[in-house]
Parts: sequence; C-alpha cells; structure tokens
Amino acid sequence: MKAQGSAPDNESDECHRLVTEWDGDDWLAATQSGLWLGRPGGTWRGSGPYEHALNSLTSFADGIVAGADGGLWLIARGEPRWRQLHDEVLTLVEAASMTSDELQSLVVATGYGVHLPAVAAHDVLRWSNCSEALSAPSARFSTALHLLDSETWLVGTETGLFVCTEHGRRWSATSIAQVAVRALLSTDEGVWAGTDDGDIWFAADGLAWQHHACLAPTESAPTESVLSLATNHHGVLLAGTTGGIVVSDGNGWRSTGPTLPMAAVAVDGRTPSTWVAGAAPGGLWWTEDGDAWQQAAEAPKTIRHLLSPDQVQ
Amino acid sequence: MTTYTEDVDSRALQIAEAINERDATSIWGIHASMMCGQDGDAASALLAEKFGSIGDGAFARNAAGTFDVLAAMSVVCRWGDQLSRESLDHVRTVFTDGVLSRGNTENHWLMHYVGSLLAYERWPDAPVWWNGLTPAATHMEADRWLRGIIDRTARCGHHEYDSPQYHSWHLLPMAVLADHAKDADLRQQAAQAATLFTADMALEYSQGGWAGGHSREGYRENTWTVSGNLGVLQYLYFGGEPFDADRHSHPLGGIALTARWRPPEMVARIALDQSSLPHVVRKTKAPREIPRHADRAPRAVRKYTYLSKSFALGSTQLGIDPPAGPIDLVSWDLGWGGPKHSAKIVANHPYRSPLRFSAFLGGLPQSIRRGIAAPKPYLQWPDRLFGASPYERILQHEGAILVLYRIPEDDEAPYVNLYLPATAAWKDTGNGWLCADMNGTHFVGVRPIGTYRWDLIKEDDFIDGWLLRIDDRCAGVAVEAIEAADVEGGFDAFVSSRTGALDVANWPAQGRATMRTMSGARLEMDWPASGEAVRKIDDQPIDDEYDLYEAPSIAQAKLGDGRIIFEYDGERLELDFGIDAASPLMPMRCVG
Repeated sequence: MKAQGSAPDNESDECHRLVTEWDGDDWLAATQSGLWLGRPGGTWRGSGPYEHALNSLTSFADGIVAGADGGLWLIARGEPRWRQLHDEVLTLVEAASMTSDELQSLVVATGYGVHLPAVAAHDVLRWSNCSEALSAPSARFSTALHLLDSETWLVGTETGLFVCTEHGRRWSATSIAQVAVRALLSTDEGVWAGTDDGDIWFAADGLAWQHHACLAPTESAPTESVLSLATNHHGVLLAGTTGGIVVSDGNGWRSTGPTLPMAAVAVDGRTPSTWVAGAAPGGLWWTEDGDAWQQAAEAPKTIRHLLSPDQVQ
Repeated sequence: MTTYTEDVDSRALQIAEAINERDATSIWGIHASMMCGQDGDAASALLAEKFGSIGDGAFARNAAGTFDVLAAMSVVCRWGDQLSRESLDHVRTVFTDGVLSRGNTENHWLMHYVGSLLAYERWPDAPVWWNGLTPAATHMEADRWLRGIIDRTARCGHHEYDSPQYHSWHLLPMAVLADHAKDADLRQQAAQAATLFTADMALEYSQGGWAGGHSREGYRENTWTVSGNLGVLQYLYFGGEPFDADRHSHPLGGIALTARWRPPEMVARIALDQSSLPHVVRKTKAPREIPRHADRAPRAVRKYTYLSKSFALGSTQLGIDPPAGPIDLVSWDLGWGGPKHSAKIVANHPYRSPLRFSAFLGGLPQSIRRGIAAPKPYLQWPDRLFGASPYERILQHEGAILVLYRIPEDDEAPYVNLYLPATAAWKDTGNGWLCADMNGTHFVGVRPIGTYRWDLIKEDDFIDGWLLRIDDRCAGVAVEAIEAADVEGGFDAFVSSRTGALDVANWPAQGRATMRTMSGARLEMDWPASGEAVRKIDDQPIDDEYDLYEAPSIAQAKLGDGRIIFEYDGERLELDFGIDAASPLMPMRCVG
C-alpha cells in the first residue's frame, strides 16, 4: 500500500523529491510503471510517483513527451510534477513526434487516429482527430509515426502504412497494405518499416516502398511480427520481434537474445556495440557484444519504448 | 399511508444501519456512519487513512483515481462541515500533490471527472493541480466531458449500458453532481441523467433483479438470480421486496442514502407495476466502442426484453463484427424469481480470441491475451458463460428465443455452453426438448441444437448447476417460456406442444431454422454460411430500428432529440436535455 499526500514529511513527499532527473549517460525506458532511467550494467530506477503506463518517449527541449494509454504527458527534467498534455479526447497514445520545438507542433498517433493540438484557454492543448477520412476503425488505429518533413507524415496503422499530407487533410495508402505496421525507423539511407507479417520494407525517400526482407527463417517457421527497429549507424539493423531480436549485419539475418516480444530496441550511437532491448512483457535486457544478453532485474516487466542517451537532448 | 419520500427515507435508514453494523473499511461507508449519528472524528480519520492510498494489484491505480476520487468528494461535499480541518487538507493535498488516474472505462472517467470538478469547486485557489494544470483548466476539461457524456447518453443511448455491476457507478456520480455542482444547469442535466439511469433500472426491473441484456455483468455472476451490487439502489428507490442485508446494503449505496437527489416517484411505480404485464421493453443503446480489428463502425445496440409476471426473457442485437467480443457482456438470458443458481438459463460461446481484448484496448495484440487473462483467468475458461461472441445471432419474440451460432473452423472453442438450473426437474420429451415446470408459476422448454452432453458445473458459490456442452460449430438453443396459467392443459399440454415446435432440418446446410411458439407465431432465421442472418417473425423481417425507449410507460423517446417523456397512471414526466441536434457528438474515448 502506498500513501500519497498525507503528511508533510512522509514517503509521499520523499517520492516527490525523487525528481525525474537524468544525465547524459542515462537511457530512458517507457514502462508499465512510468518512466525509468538507467544504463547498461548500472542500476535502473523509477523516476518518481507518476507510474502511468507509457508507450512512447519523444525528446523535447529539456524533457520528454511521454505517450501513455491514459493520455500524453510532458516530463521536464528536474521538475517534480508531470504536466498533462491530453484533454478529454486524447487517449491511447502510441507515438508522438514534433514538427518544431513548440508543443503545439506535436503530431500524435493514437488508437483513434492521428491527433493535432491547438492551444486553448489556460494554456492547455485541445486535440482534434485528423484520421476521420479513414472510414475503417482499424485504419485509424495508429501505432507508429515518422515525420518525413513538417507536411509529410508516415503513419503505421493496423491496416498498413499511410502517407498523411497537408497537415492531416490528405491520406494515401502505400504498398504496405492490409497488415499492421508497428515499427518505423529513419536512417541516413532512408526509412525502414516492419510489419506483423515479419517483413521489412525500405524506402529511400520514405514514399516508394520496396520489400527488403522476410524475417521468417523458413517458410514453415512461425511468423514473428516486427515490433521495433534500430540501427547502430554502422550497417547493423536490429529488429525487435515477437520472437526476440533479429540482427542484419550485411550477411543475412540472425537471431540473438531471449525469445521475448521485444517492443523496444535501441542503440547508443556513441557506443554502437551496446544494445538495449525491452520486452512487453519480459523486462529490460542489454548486450555489449550482440550475443550475450543480461537482464536488468530491478526494471519493470513490461517495456514499450527506449531512448538511448544520444536520443535524449 | 406514507409518502414515497418517507418510504425511501425509511429504507435509507434501514440500509445505513446494516452498513454501519459492519466494520467501516471504505470511504463509501462514511455516509452510512454519519447518517447513523457517528461524529466526524472517526469519519475524518477514515477519510485521511483511505483516500490517496493505492493498493496492490494491476488495477489499484485506476481504482484510486476513480472510485476513491468520487467517494472522497462525495463525503467532503456532503459532510465537510463535520470533518476535521486535517482530513479536508489531506483530500486537497491528494488533488494537488498526489498522482491520480482517470482509468479507461466510462464509469472510471465519470467518477474521475465528477470528483475532479467538485474538488476544483471546493479549492479553486490552489495554484496548480496534481496534473500540472491549473485547477480551472482541469475543471473546464471535466465540465466539457460531463456535459458531453450526458449529451451522448440522451441522444444515442447509454454507452456502458444496463450493467448490474457498474450501473451504480453511473447513477451515483450523477446524483453527487446533481447535489453539489455549482453550476445550476449542470446540476439539472446531472439530475435528469440520474433519473434516466434510474428509469433504465425500472423499465426492466423483474423479481428483484435486472432483466435483459447487459453491457457488463459481474464476472461469473450471470447465472445468479440477482447479480451485481445494484440491489442496494433498487431496494432504496423501488422497495418492492423484503429487506435482505446481504443484497441490499452494499457500502457504495451510502452516497444515495444521504443524497438530496431522489428519483421521481413515478419511476419507482413503473418498476413495481405488474398491471401491464406481460409487455415488451425495447431500448437502443450506443454502439460499442471498437477502435481496432474493425473494417466498419459498430452499429447501435438494440435490446428487446419480454417481461411477464413470473419470468423475463431478454436479448440484444450487439451490432459488432468479428473479432470483437466485449469480455463481460451478456447478450441474452431467461430469468425468474428463486434462490441463487436456480432461476437462470443462458448460453454462451466462450469465444477467446486474443483479438477480443485488443479490439478495444491498447497494447500488443500478440501478447495482450496473457496480459489480461493472467490476473483474471476466468476470462479464458472453457466453461465460461459470459462474454460476447461475434458468431451468435438471436431472434426473440416475446417469451420465445432462437439463438444460433456459426463458429469458424479456426476458432479455439468449437462448442457452446448452456446453463440449466439443477434445482428443476427436467423432462426429456424425446423430441429434443427439455421441459420443466418452474414451481408451478411458469413452464420452460429448452431445445439444444447439436450434439450435447450433460455435465455438472460447480465452483464455490459462483456457479452450481448443469452445463450442457453442445459440441457443434453450428450449435444453437431454442427456448420458450410461458406462464402456467396461460396453458390450457397444464404442463403436459406444454410438453405436447413441443412436438414440431422447432424445425432445424435445414440448419445448418441451408442455413434456415424455424420455431413455432405457443401463441402461434413463426420465428425464422435464414443465416447462410457466407452472409448475414435475416430474421423474420410471421414472414416479416424484423425491424430493429427502435426508438431510444419503447415501453408502455414511454410516450416519446426518439433517438437523437434528447427528450424522453414518461406517462404512467395519468401522470407525465418529461426529461428534456436541451439537445442541439446539429452539434457534433463528443468523441467516445473510453471503454464501455
């Protein structure tokens, strides 16, 4: 049993002093118990009393915009209080991105569609759904998001990958259709997408998509869905799948690590041999050689997104 | 001769004393304690101890931010002048420095927003709220949502509809809002919503329970004669039966005991009136919210409930497509008065696709089944008798119902469970029908369609009866109930009438099944293997386009216009929500 807000110097206020502070070497994890911080080989710790189940983390100024099943939050580094960014419409937030360094430039992918904010009285954000043009609920259910530029957005949905332009007014399908797209990754070469069919797709310009690989080792092997993608920027592509991590280093694909639904995988560009993966469920794992993986026992059991230190401003 | 108000006051005291006899362990119970004359010190101590504490378990944080928020503010608003300064400061501090959650269901959001709105109105000068916003911003959000959900309910029907388990968490927040909101218009809207929710209970009140389909029924309770915690509100507002402390004194009812808001007397009289029975009640409810695994939006929910003197048969057209299957929905049942486990007949395809969870929740479809079912394993049990199946089609006419299933080849549960009370003496008529004389009041015939076997089902006091497992992907059940007094020749004549009452010679091959009722009506379902079911009564396709409400006591209740007019015994009651039909509906973003 935890108490909150009862006496001046009880555990609750101690929690409030457990400020969401992180430094330049910390990795950040979106977990079912809020924001967690730590580093491979070190101790992982919760960020404080806000234990909302988080799905995504987006770096913003000196903080993080965190997408949650229950809404959207701004976590400012060093501030004891999270700030609510959602309203009575925004919920089931799966991913968020920004077209500038202003909060009103947020683009948010949710279970009900892509939502855009407007600033209202009392400096709050009010949200509107720009996916209404997609008639099927599944097509609106948006799980991945990448902004090619401020006007051209890639939206991974339960029924494929869409291109959304004109600030949400125009939608067009891509060649990745009738399958859920949960993973998008931008690299120097182009944009990568992963599907529930276990396929990896690539588009140099983000628009002309070509099938790149199928992760199933054999035709008879069970299909594992692609849940997350990452690169070490040295030619290695990592895919978190429902069956664990799969790695491509230019010589084909190989499996590594525990067989868990890896919803998150990340690489620190400054130390490209260190990889961290988060399973949902299955906890937090890391490796320094790509073969031997160590679990962080103290971390929550469900990890949904990771930011490496170089992704945190 | 006492008045309705005096009767409710008397029952309220009766309930309060029963609650107060038990150890006070919840914030809800404070209302009963104070009503029974306890001083504010104990209430203050309990409030300070309980509010803001977060228990263990997967759903504890949701509970603290929703149920506890409503309970605490109901106590503060009702008894604040008798509570200690310290306890009030504590409640304020939870709102300013705690961490709350609005949960994910409609009842969660309702309780959270009502509590938040009232907290702001009590402490408007706090510089910042727990969520980093000003109290004014939080108040505006709560106000918008509360008006929006009332508007939706008045125009297209209640979303989390008619739940014996959760209806209290809809009615009570509205009663609290009606009593304590500062804005007179919001108070008025909330009072009307509370009246409408009470009328929902009244229109299908039967034998001390709630007949008809339910959006949510307590897990493993839907074979009980009376389920859920609603009994305390039914007894308080309707009376109608002797006081039973076990069923009629749930602590949550404390809010209602001491509330100023009370339903109009007419609603209670509608609930208890037997003079117009038998009759049919039709309701339209809001479409289920299915954001995923759906190619088209769900359609409106249509309920049909036949209320007779001794029994009630109710069914629901759910308006959903595979793979959606709301997990605690009950689509149809036949019930009557009697001891627990002895007075309900229901069938269920225990559909357990993982997609039934991810259709309305976030999270990975690939891992959500274990995540949801690990703390609630009964959601996946093969003997389950609750939870919607998208492969069920229902045709009901008065006391007769024909339920058919087309379970796909790849479904994990290629069978249907049928529950029969073990207390009845079933007669196998030799032509497929099982018949029973229910205590001499009414007769019931049940015809399983498909090969089946009898099993016992017993789990503690959750369930105790017969489980007929119909091992057929195209299973079905036909049921007819009729008052004994309406059958010339008695039970033997009823049994004889079963001969030829059901024709399934063309089911499933040609997709047609027909049923002839005691009154001579012909029910026909044409459901080809690939295609939608067409349902007919006496060769006429069924029109499911009901008004919001249709019943003998309803004079007007059209969908979309927010005016519901009751007429009963020469009196008239009008609820007018002042709807602007041209205004857009507030998007529904929580589970119902």
